[in-house]
Amino acid sequence: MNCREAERLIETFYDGELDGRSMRDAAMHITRCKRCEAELAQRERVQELLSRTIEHEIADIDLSRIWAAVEPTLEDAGSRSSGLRVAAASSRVGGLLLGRARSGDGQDESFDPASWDAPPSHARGLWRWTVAGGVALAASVLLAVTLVPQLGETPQGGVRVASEKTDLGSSATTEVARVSSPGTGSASRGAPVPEAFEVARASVGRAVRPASNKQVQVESVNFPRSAVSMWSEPASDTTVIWIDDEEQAAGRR
Amino acid sequence: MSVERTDWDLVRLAGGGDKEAFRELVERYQRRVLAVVMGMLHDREAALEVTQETFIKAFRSIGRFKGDASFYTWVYRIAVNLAIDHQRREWRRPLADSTRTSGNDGQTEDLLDRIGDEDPRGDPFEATKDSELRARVLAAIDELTPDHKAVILLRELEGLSYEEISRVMQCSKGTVMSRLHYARKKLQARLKEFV
Repeated sequence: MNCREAERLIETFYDGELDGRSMRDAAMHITRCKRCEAELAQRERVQELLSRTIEHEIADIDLSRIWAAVEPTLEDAGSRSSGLRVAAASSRVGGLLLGRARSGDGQDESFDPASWDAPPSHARGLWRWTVAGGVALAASVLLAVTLVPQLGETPQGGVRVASEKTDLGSSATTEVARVSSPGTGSASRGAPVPEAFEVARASVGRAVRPASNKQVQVESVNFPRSAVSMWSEPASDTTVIWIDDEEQAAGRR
Repeated sequence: MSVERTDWDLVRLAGGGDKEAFRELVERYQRRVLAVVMGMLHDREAALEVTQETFIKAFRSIGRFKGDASFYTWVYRIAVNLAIDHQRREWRRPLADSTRTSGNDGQTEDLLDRIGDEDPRGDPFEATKDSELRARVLAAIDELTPDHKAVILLRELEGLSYEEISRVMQCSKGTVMSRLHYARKKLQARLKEFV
């Protein structure tokens, strides 16, 4: 191992995060190389300064004050816990739908400890983006709905998606009306669809993790003699509903 | 001879409402949590308040803690989030309401004032040198963003692994590594005359 390679690994070496072989190679190089040894010593010194400084800062704090302040609140906290969780979930939903600003790096402004079992690392962030995308898509569908009358086509019916069952029992409701998009559905699945309705779904609630067997319940379908087909893709948190309007299709034929 | 109960034993008991079990958990981790929060806030009273709030919040949710992570990483996450929230609130506060003066210089002065109050039994020259050094260290930490602060403190003070830090911070291991690298470089540069 040369200095350049060692330099790349020195941080992970110092943190003890290298695998066995790399650890050994880095250690052998560092013990023989003054420059790398000095680099490592600098990191040790920074660590020592931090520890000493913070230890000094807390040295004379009376730790018994912590329990003294916590203890009286526990009775109350225990009895209110479930209600608080519901409130926390609600505020998260509100935050999601209203687009509450989040911190630059994806930290929750108010972390709900009950959601700890959510998937760690970037997976959770991805889901948040997916959901945000879903909400944006839903908004665009609604916008399209408002534009339909201007295009000379009056909405004649609608599909109301009542709820989406997930393992967390969360639900969201999105109402759609007829959208004219002749020829194709927005999902490139199957044959061309005469009338396409795309329903972007936002699954809300704790951790935004969809169940693998997602179900979408349709509360009502107000399209007489129409065939409804549905496609749900949990991976992108999207459900697409096709309404095959037989009357119109027959007219075109 | 009594066998020391594991964190998980205590968590289960506390989940059932056993306050003594929860007290044992608090006593086990209060110092470590306080150290991290202190490193982030540099204000004793605020650090105490955030630490207290951390444990209150932990107790409220302990029934749902499934033990798929260490209790302490879970508690750290609560603490770090509360500390970051606290810091943001402080930053948003109008300057007139705050004890802050302008920019970082004011903070450094505050820190110098606070840590200049040394133990009179020691060598005054050494004490002054030490207090100046600590002021510089605290000022250097203060220049980091809250996320960088949290990562470096969890690593250097508490010795958490990259994986544990990624769980606390809800980010990938790669992000932990890059934040750590950046924070160390910045601290090394700011403290170069001492390292």
